[in-house]
Amino acid sequence: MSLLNAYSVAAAALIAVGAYCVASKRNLIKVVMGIEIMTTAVNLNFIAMGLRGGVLDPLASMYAAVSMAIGAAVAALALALIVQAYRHYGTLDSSKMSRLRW
Amino acid sequence: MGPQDVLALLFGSSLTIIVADRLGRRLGAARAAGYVTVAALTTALLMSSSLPSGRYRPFPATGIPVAELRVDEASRIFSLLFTSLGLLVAIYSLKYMEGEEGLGAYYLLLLLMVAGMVGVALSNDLFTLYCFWELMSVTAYALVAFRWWHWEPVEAGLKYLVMSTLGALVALYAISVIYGVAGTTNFDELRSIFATLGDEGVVRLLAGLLLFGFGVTAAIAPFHTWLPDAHPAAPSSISAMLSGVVIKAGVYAIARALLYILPPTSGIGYLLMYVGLLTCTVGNLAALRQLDVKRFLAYSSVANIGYIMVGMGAGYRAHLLGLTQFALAGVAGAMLHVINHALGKGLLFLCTGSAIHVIKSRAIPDLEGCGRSMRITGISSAIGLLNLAGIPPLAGFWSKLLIAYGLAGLLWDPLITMALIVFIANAVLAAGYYIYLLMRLFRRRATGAGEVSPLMWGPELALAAACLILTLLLSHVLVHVYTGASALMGVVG
Repeated sequence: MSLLNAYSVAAAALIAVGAYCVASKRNLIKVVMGIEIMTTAVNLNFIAMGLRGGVLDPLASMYAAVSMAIGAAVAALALALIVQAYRHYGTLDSSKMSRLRW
Repeated sequence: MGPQDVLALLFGSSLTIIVADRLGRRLGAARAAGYVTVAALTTALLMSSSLPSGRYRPFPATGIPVAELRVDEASRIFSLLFTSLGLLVAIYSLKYMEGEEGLGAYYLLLLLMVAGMVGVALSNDLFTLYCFWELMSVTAYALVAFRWWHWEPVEAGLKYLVMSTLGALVALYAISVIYGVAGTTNFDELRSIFATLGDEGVVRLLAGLLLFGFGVTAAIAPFHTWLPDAHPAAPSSISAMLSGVVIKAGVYAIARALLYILPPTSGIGYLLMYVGLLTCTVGNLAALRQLDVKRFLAYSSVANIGYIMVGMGAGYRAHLLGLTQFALAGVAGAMLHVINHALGKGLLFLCTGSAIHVIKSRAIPDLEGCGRSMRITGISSAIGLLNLAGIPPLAGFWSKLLIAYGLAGLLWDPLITMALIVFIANAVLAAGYYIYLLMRLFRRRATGAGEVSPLMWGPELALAAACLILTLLLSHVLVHVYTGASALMGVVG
């Protein structure tokens, strides 16, 4: 299938890396980095899917651009919350702030 | 007038809120931002109640083939539900949030959250749906953490953000694969392309990814763990929004993706049904041991999402087998339960918000007897509890009955017989604990807990009346719900 090119395989691998990072890391900054890796992977996958016969569908680049903007908004909010969490707990370790059982 | 005008109104008024908040504070009118929100949501409600069905291109001159909007009976029901609950919550907030810091931001986020949800219901394109989805989610995270000077909202908001973003990214990945397979993200084009694709493996994979992706926000088990933390941590008005409508937007996205876009494939119906049964069992059992009233209600929301998923699963399975009558019953039952639960749980969170406002405690033993001393709040919450318990004349009974009817049509299948038994056991268990909570709230006379201001009991009374009106006009409501179900599944019923 033409959908399976080097880019889409790389994107799937990055998704796995990002998901592993979100699931296993205790440090909240690293969790946000995992989310960012996944966002990048999805953007890459949009570009990979938009390649048809060597030509890039402009729709795909638009999707990736909009998705980047949304990802930036989510990351900004996540980091703002992490700053507040650090002020409350004095640590970035999610297992030490588990008053609500993560 | 089309759906783009409703969205333009909501986005435009969100700019007005910033100005109104600044001006209002300077002139000593702290509620100015609230009044603008109420006015905007009232207008949006009036506009969206009369939207004609059809497809709309908001930017026809540019020739961009995306951002198409649609109006059909299902999206109309959902967007009406979102705007009307948003309006009542905005009215309630006028008094409930009085004197809090950052009210301008609160109303701005509330209005944008409603805009995002209405956009989810009205979009006819998967990527547009995702954009509105993120608008709804990001504002919801911020609203959960609105009282950021306490530890609980920050931690709950962070947990909600991480889990829900993970889900949204998986859904976006599925959308990118769909775009790769079909070359478009338009709902109607995708529906016709996937109908002729004939590759069941791809459809199953995409359905699984989309169910997980949207399901985290819809709080299906085992991804529901953010919900019982986020709902109690948020202000009660926002809990009512989250539990009443935000998780329903997740249900809508799942229904639209699995029932409308992807062709019926064997196995997915069982998946939906058993995920639903797991969700309602987990929710009901966890609710039993809660002493915090908001956690109790949050777990019961998880259980109710389970009933809705069971209805959708039964409808999906019946649709696959060509039994249109039972397919429509299952999905229509799920939609009626969406309406019932949105009204009932919104009502209950507003009522507990009032009780907590007066008594300053979330523990159920402290709230005992407040049903007697706070007359209007007490009676409204009684109606809400009876409606969700599914006591026969009320609408909550009929939605569960419709779902059970959808399951009963497939009773020759042992897996479905088992599902029906678990479903009924769950419904009985839920009825039991709702009645138990009702009895505790009314058991003895509390001291000194007076009724709250009319701005707070007004929305409660309106929601209680809506529950009763829904019951009285059930035959009319059922016509709309059935039309909505056939629009959602794309079948002629």
